[in-house]
Amino acid sequence: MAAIPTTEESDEGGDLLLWVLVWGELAAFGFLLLGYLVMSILHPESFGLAKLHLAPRLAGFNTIVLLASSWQAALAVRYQDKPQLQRLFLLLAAALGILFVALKGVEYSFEWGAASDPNLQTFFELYFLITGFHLAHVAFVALLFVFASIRLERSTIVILTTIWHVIDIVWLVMFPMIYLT
Amino acid sequence: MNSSKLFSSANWIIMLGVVAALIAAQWKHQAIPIVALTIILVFTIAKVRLIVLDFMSLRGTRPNLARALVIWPTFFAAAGLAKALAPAVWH
Repeated sequence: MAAIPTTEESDEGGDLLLWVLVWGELAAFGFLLLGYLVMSILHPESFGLAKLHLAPRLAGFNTIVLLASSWQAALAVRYQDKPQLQRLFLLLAAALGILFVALKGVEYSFEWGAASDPNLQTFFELYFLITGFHLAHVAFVALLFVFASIRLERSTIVILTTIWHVIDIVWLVMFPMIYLT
Repeated sequence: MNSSKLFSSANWIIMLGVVAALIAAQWKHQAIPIVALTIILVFTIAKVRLIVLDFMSLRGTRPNLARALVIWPTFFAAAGLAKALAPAVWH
């Protein structure tokens, strides 16, 4: 019969899961961003033209929305001894995450037309792949925040908040690379 | 995980810095100034460092892991900045 893990062993297991998740995310986005960087150096003209069709103001506002969301998530971890407040902060983090997804949807609707131009296809393929992959993470973890607000399990909230910060960091690196340079 | 230090004054300065740089960069419909881009990237790295060391509780415990986590955004921020600066240097 398998031994019941002690609290310390369980914590180590949780830590390992967290690090696997964090490094998995960073490795996946790292390869995608590296690919984008190489292609932007190889095709500077078409990438420069394609960027004129982006909406950096909306993306900039979305950056502030995501920063505010990760702040709410951090507050949820801080107020672990006050369940009502913790629930509120988790739901606020989720709501801001969903707002990010909605605004990104609006942004995509502006850019969709330009994506069909064959000269700009390389940029938009990479753009939709990278930002879409990021968006899927935001939508999924925002949904998990809603579920976490029902159960309020400390380890789950800590893992979700850490992943949320990683998603936030990835966006903070991705945003200037894609929209501003 | 320790979130209390995330609410220190440094964190607020970082948040304000990113937001201010974003607003300054988009005040007019024109190419982003290098200064605003640099501010955003520097504050991004500072925020990452704060999260890695304080929120993930890696300050003084796992220095190699903490360093590796900070190197990831630093590399991409440096690459992005170099790419933005390259045309100005070459022309």
